[in-house]
Amino acid sequence: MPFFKVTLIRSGIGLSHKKLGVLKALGLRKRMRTVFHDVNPAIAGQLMKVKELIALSTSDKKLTRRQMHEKRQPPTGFEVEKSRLVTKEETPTGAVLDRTSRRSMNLCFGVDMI
Amino acid sequence: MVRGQPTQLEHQASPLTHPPYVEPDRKRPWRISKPQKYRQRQRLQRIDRIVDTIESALAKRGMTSQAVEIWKAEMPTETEMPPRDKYTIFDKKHKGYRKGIHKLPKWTRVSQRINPIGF
Repeated sequence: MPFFKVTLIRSGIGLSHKKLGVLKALGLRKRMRTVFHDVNPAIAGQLMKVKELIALSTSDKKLTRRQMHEKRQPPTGFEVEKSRLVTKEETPTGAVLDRTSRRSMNLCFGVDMI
Repeated sequence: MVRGQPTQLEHQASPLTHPPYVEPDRKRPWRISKPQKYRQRQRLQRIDRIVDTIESALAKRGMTSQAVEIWKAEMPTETEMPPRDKYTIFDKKHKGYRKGIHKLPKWTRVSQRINPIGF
């Protein structure tokens, strides 16, 4: 299912209250904030109202802010081929281990050192 | 009243006491510069791309949007617009009824593409 990926690249400061309200409704409170929305006529109408302020593309996945942040991180430079204590099934918090995810790596090492 | 601190009246920002700041017309050059014109074209093209993205995304799901349809019917694209419309705007008070688009308040964040009927 496709989504609109919307980023606010121009501030709404000084514009009409209607446009500011649309930005608020879309969840665009600060510049460079990215949000994902369903593709439907209601959202399309809202995007048309603020089209001068946004960057727009379509995306197959709806990413959370955490996922977008982790996507931007540089590679760790190493891979864990095998862990003695923590395997994919045994992750204490139930999180799926991903080698590009720094947070998961830290979690992995944290348990390893105990 | 404590000196230096805002009074109660100053807290209430009403349109009468705090009109939105608009740069005085006399401070803006009469002529729009070449880089300004270039960036204006980029902005117009970007908006065209955004409208196309919305339209194609809806079309893939078999939907349409009234806002998009009205825009497509009424507004020319950047390539269809004559330079006169890209860089100048109708103004009843100006000589020749045209003035530079850079005189329009918030001109980089608003869409201004068509003229009144007869102009």
